[in-house]
Amino acid sequence: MRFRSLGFHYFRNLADSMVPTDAEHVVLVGNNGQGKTNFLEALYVLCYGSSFRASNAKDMCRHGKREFSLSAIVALDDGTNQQILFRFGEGKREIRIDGKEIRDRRDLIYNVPCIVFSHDDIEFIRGTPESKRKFFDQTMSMYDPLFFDDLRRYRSVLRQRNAAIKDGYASLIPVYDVQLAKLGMAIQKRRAEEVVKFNELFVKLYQAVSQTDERMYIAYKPSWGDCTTEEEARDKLSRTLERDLRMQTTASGIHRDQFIVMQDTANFASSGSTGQMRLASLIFRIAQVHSYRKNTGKEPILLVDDVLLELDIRKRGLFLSLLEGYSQAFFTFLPEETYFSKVSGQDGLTYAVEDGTFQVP
Amino acid sequence: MTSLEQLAKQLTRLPGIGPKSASRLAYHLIKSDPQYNKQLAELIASIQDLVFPCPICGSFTETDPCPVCADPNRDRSVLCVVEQPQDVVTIAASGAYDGLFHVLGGALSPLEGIGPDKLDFARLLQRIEKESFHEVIIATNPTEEGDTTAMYLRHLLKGKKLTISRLASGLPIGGDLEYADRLTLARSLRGRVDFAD
Ligand SMILES: [Zn+2]
Repeated sequence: MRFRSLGFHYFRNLADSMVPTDAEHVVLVGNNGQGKTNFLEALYVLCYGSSFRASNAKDMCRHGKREFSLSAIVALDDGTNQQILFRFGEGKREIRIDGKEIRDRRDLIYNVPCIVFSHDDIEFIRGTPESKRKFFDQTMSMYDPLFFDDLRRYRSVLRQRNAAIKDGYASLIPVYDVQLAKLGMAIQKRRAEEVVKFNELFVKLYQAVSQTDERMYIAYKPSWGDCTTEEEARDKLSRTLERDLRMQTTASGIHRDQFIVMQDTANFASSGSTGQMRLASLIFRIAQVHSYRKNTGKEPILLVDDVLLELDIRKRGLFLSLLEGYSQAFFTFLPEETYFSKVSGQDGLTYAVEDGTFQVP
Repeated sequence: MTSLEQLAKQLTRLPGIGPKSASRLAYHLIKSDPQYNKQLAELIASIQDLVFPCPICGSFTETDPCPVCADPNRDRSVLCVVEQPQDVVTIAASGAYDGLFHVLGGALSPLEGIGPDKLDFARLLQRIEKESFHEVIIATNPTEEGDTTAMYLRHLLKGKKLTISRLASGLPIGGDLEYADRLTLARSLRGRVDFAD
């Protein structure tokens, strides 16, 4: 699977154009603020219907405009081409695949799988418990639609239960508890399985790139860690209802689970250096690529945004050698950076990015 | 605001009508046969007097009680509980059901301010006390809110001598991409136990 071309209209600072991308490696070289990350963002929006950095589609309009559109031709694995169109205007977004409107986001997210490597990934290591849950939920959702669906239902039931608590609909709470316990225990079981598989990969990858024998791993601490069945989780919810009523929210459940990055016996978020954490976050993404490929047999598209800058030459080489099993990768670089032959070799396209335009140097 | 703009603005209050469609409809009405406009206006003005909720089952009717509640040939031992009056029409039109109906008037959703007090559970329980049903079929929509409503109702009816069933739903999933089929398969393989109380 590969993007063959990408088109923009009123999108951020990018000039209205259609840029060919039909290569295994596409390299965007330019100074900051010229539009490299905007290009990656456009690809991401076409894959998932939302941005990895803007929470509001309106923010992606060019300055002074209130609408934008993106389009792409994707070569599918079966040799056919697919057209993806994303349009935003009048506060609404519209997504079409081969002309057919996609109404449910989950019909989009399994279409073109992409994985983005960005500076913000360090939050998976040192950020809030929520940002860590987000990483693992994303990793699993990418290959497991049932998990994604359970998670979505869980969140929806949780919002209803919290509303029932606030509005005093006590008679509804047991009904929501049955649903939360059922979905929550399914999610907890899957997260626990995933962490075991993830650790196998993560420990080895970290040692390979850092060239140390440090044992890094994830400790999973579920909020319902003392429960093994739906019934137990339901009992727990009803036992703690009084506290929930007092706090006006559901205080236990898989939305409170913790994933702690451990360095031997220490919490890495406090023991690790920024450099180590950045490296660990890159390895999180590499592990995500491996996990996706292992579980689906398919190769994702990678968007690698400036993250190599902070690695020394040797780590960079190691990182790139571990980065494999993708169908296409986009990299951004600063002009003075030396990048590796791997990404600018035979099946490569390089663009100089300046003021929202893309030129073959 | 011109009269044309006012008309278009009123039309946008209808479900599914955006500003563009509203303006198209307004222009269409200007050019229509005046007789048609008149009939349409009269019908809109009188519809709420002509059609009202059946005092027994809650479906829309022009007679009291509605033709379904009044029909002596229907099976009075089975009651089908639905969310909306339109659902009665859909199920009745299928021809596969000849029992009675009860309209709740929506599905439970505290987020939208719809708690049990906003739906017609009280009259439903009264009917179940007074009439002689053997079976209650819960035919709320296959959505999260519909499932919650079904579970809540099941809870309310606990201990009563009734067979309670949930209408089997086909594929409630919007899209028709490969993913939908995989998910449906996965769900059915896992088996739904929502009603194991
Ligand atoms: Zn009736």
